Amino acid sequence: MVYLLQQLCLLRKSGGSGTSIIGVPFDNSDGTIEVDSGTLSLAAGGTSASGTFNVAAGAVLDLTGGSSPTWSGLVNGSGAGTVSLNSGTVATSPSLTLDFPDGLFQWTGGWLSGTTINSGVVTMLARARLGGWRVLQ
Amino acid sequence: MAGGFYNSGLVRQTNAATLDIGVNYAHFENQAGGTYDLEGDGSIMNAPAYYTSFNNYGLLRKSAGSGTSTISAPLNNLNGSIEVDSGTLSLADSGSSSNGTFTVAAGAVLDLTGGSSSTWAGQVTAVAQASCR
Repeated sequence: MVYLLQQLCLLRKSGGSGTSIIGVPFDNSDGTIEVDSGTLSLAAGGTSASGTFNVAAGAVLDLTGGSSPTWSGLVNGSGAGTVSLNSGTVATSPSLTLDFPDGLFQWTGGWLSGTTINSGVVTMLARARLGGWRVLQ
Repeated sequence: MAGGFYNSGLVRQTNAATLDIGVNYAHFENQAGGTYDLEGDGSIMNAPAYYTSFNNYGLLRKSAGSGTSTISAPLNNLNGSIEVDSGTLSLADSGSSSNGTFTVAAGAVLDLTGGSSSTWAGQVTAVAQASCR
């Protein structure tokens, strides 16, 4: 299995107005993901624990690209861009805490499945689907 | 802590967006201090799942939209507050509730049943220009 492991490091998309796709499983371990322009799509799942997402205005971090990653721990971030859940399923196991400022985390489709805790602001713009713990069994 | 979504911050459900509690046993908990804001005429549904619920310990608010937002998943209001600033908020899929505060602006409606059969206990308090039915 080929995968991309990021531990306490910075993954950045600094240029390009199009979409950059991470097409291998991506495991983020308390690292920072920065999108300065265009879209960065984490499109091949993976197992991640905590992270910071910094997304500039007009830029997008696509958390799934239609895939089904597992996230745990705490995720937060900054910027006037978008952290997008628009397809696929984010499995939150054993639990994931979202702590984003207003407007950053936008839920426009896809599933959150497991135990999700929100201590910041989550914005729903279309059909947001919530699964339960039994999905994970 | 069982699975589900636990909100102690702010969830903004904008325009016609919907929340679908779409799997058996899934539930949404709006915790004390949390706000769930319907900023339009979107709804909360659970079809076709069973044993789902929306549990409100905090503030459930419909802040915008002149139409009807329907909660068609069982709503358990557990000492929470329900506020309707405009349009109609319909609690249309039963539930078992105890205590609560209802604040309904002039011209707005909180429909307690939407034709369903809910169970309430304790004390409920309506504030200001209420139009409850």
